[in-house]
Amino acid sequence: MASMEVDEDVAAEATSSSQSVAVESSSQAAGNTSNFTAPTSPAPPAQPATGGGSGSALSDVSPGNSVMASAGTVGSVSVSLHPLVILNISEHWTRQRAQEVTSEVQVLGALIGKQTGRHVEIMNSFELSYDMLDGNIIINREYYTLKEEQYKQVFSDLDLLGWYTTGDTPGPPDLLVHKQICDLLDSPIFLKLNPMARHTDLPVSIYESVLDLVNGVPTLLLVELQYTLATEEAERIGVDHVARMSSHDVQESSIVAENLQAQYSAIKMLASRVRLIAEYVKASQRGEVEFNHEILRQVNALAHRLPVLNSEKFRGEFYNQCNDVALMSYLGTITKCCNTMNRFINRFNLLHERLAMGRRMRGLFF
Amino acid sequence: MASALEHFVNNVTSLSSQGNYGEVVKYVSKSTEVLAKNVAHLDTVLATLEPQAVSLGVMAVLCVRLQNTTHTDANIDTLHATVAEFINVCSEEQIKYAPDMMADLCGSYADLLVAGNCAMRGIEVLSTAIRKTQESPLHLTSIHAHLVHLCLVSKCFKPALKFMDVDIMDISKERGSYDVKHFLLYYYYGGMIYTAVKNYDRAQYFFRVCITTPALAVSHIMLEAFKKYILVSLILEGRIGRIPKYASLVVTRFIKPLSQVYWDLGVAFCTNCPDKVCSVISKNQETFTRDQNMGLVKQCLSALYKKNIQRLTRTFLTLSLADVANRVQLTSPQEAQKYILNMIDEGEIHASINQRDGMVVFLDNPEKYNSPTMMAHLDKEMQLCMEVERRLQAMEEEIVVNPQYVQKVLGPQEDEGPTPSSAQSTSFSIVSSM
Repeated sequence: MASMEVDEDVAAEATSSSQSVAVESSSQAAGNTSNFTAPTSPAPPAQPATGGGSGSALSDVSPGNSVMASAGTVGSVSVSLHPLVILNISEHWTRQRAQEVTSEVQVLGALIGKQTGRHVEIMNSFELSYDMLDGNIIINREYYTLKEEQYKQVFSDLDLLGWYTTGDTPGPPDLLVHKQICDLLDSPIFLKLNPMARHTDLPVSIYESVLDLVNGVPTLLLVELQYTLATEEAERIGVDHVARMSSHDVQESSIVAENLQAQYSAIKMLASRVRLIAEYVKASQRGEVEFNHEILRQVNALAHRLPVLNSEKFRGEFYNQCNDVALMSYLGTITKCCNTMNRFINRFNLLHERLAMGRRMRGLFF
Repeated sequence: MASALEHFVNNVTSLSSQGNYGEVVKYVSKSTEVLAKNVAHLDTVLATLEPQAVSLGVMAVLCVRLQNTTHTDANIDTLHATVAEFINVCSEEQIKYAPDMMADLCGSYADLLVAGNCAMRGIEVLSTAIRKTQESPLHLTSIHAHLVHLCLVSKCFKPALKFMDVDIMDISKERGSYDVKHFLLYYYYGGMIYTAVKNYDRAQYFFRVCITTPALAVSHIMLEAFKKYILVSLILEGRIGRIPKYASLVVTRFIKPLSQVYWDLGVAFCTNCPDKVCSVISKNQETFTRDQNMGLVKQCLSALYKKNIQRLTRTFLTLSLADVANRVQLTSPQEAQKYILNMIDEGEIHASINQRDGMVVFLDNPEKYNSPTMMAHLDKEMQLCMEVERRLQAMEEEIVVNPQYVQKVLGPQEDEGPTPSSAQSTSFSIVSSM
C-alpha cells in the first residue's frame, strides 16, 4: 500500500490524441469551453486504457486550443505525490462547493514539498486566494507571501513546488495562472484534480511546462508527468482513518477488531485444515482409509517444512510476550470495570440522595 | 388443652396437603401462643407431624419448643437429633415461605448447642439449612452468622470456609427479620476464622467490611472488629490499617479513642524497634488479655522481626547470621536462622543460607513472569474482573429502570416551570450523563 503506480500513459495519450491538434492560435476563454464540451475524438479524456493509439493524433480535429505538448514529450522530473495533498484539494473543493450557490466551482492552491535533483516530492498544499479580472484569474500575491511565510515557520524544509486547481483537462486559463506562478518559481509543477471524474482511477494529473516553438512563437506548453504515490506511516494511518470515516456512516466495531477478526478467521481455517489432515492420517493408520503413499509423502513433506521452535529460550520469550499482552488486557478490563463502577456509584448516589441536600446542591455533583 | 393442639395438627396437615403454604404460614404464626402454652405436649405433636409433608408446621413447633428449653433439659439430645433430622429432610419449597422462622429455629438451635458445649454437632446441620434456605449461593442469611459462630467455638473451620470463600452479593431479607447484628457477627467471626487459618489478607477484608458498615452509632462488635483489624494489618502489612473513607462518620470519629491501646501498639510497631513494642505490650497486658487478643499481639511481635529481616534485604546482599540477629535484635543466631528458614518456606523472602559460614545470601525474586502458570493466573484474574463488571452492569440496569431514579433525573424540568438556565443545564448534563 506504500506506493502505487498510476499508469496515466494511455489516458494521457487518449487525451492528447483527442486534442492534439496543432491548432495553436492565441487562446480565448470562449474557445476553451468548446474544447471541454466537445470531445469529438473516439476516446473522451476520462476513459482510461481504451483508445490510446500513440501518435495517431490528428485523427479528429477538435476546435479550440490545446496547451499540451505533443505526445511523446517526456517529463524532466519524476514526481511522488502524498495522499494528503489529494485529500486537501478535494476537501477544499467540497467546502467551496458547499458554500457557493453555483455548481461550477474551481479552486486554486499552492503545492509544497521537497525537490532533490530530478525527483520531486509533493507533500503538502495550501489554498491561494485569487481575484477575477476580465475573466482571468489573478493570484493574490500578498496572501501567497503571507501563507508561505507561515508555512515556512512550521515546515522549514518544504518549498514551493507548484500549484493545483480543479477541473477537467487543462486549458489556456490554466496556462495564464501557470505563467503567474512562474514568476514565483522557476519551473512549477501543475496538478489538476477532476472532481467530476467518472472513472475509478485517481483523477489527478500532473504537468510541467516547457517552452516550445509552435509556429515560430515560443509558447508555454504542458507536458504530462508520471507520478507515484508516496506516503509515510503516520500519514497512511491518518488518511486511512479519514477515508473510512467518510465512507462509513456508522462504525460499529473498531478497526483493530476487524483486523483481528480477519486473522482469527484465517487461523480458524488453518486449524480446520490441519485437523482434516490429521484425521486422514489417523484414519489411514486405523485402516479405515486406503493407504495412499503419495498423499502421505506429501503430508510428511509439509510437516517437515513447518518451523519447529521448541527450544527453552523460545518458550521463555514466547510466554514473556503472551504475559505482556495478557497484562495489558487485564489493565484494560480493570479500567473498564472502574468506569462501570464509577457510573454505578454516581447513579446510586443520585437515587439515594438525601433530601437535606436539596435541589440546588445537585449542581455540585456535575 | 390437647384438643387445641389436635386442632392445630389437623389444620396444618390439611392445608399443607392442599399445597396452600401461604395460608399455612399465616395460620402458624397466629397459633404460636397456643403452642407456647402447651409446651409439654409439643413432643407428641412432633411425633405425629411428618417433617417432609408438613415442614412448616413442624418448623413452627420446633421453634417454640427450642425457645422454651434450656441446655440442661433432660431430653435435649433427642431434641437436637429431631432438629437435625428435620433440617435434613424438610422440603425446601415449603421453607421458602417462612425464612424468618427458619432463621429463628437455627438461631435458638445454635445457642443451645453452644451453651451445651456440643457445638460440633450443629455444623453439618446448619450447612444443610443454609443451602436449603439460600435464594442463591451468593445470598447472606442470618444462619451464616450462626454457622460461623459454631465453627469458631468448636474450632472446626473447614465447613465455614467453604461458605466464606464465596463473595456475598446480596442479603436475604427473611421477611424483615434479618438484623444488622447478624451481618456484623458474620464478618467478625469470619475474620477471626481467617486469622486462625492464617489467611490474613481475607481476614483484614472481613474486618474492614465490619467496620465500614453504615452506622449511626458504634457497636461493640464493630469496636472489637476494629481492634483485630489493627492487629491483622500490623501482621500483614507492617503498618496500621487505614480506615477507609467510606466508613461512617461515627466510626472515624469515635473508634480511635475507644481503642487507644491498640493505636499505641501500632505506633510503636511503626518505629521498627522491638524493645518499644515489648514495653507497650507488657504495659497493657491486662487490656490485651481481657480482649482475648493476646495471641494476636504475640504474633504481631514476631511479625515485627520478620519485617525487620525483610528490610535488611534492601540494604545487604549477604550477611552473617550473627549480624542478622544483632540488627534485628533477636537473641541468638539460631533463632535468626529459624526465622529466615520459616520465611523462605512461606515465600516471604528469597534467600539461601550457607551453613558452613553461617552466611545468608539475599536473592532476587526468581520469577521471570514467562511461564504458562503466570498466564493462567492472569487469565483467572481477568475473568474475575469481567465477572465483577457484569454484575455491576446488572446492578446499574436495576437503578436506571427504577421509577424513582427516572423521576429524580427528570424532576427539575417539571417542577420548576420556566427553569432558570443553571437548572436546565444541570438537567441536560444529568440526562447526558445517563
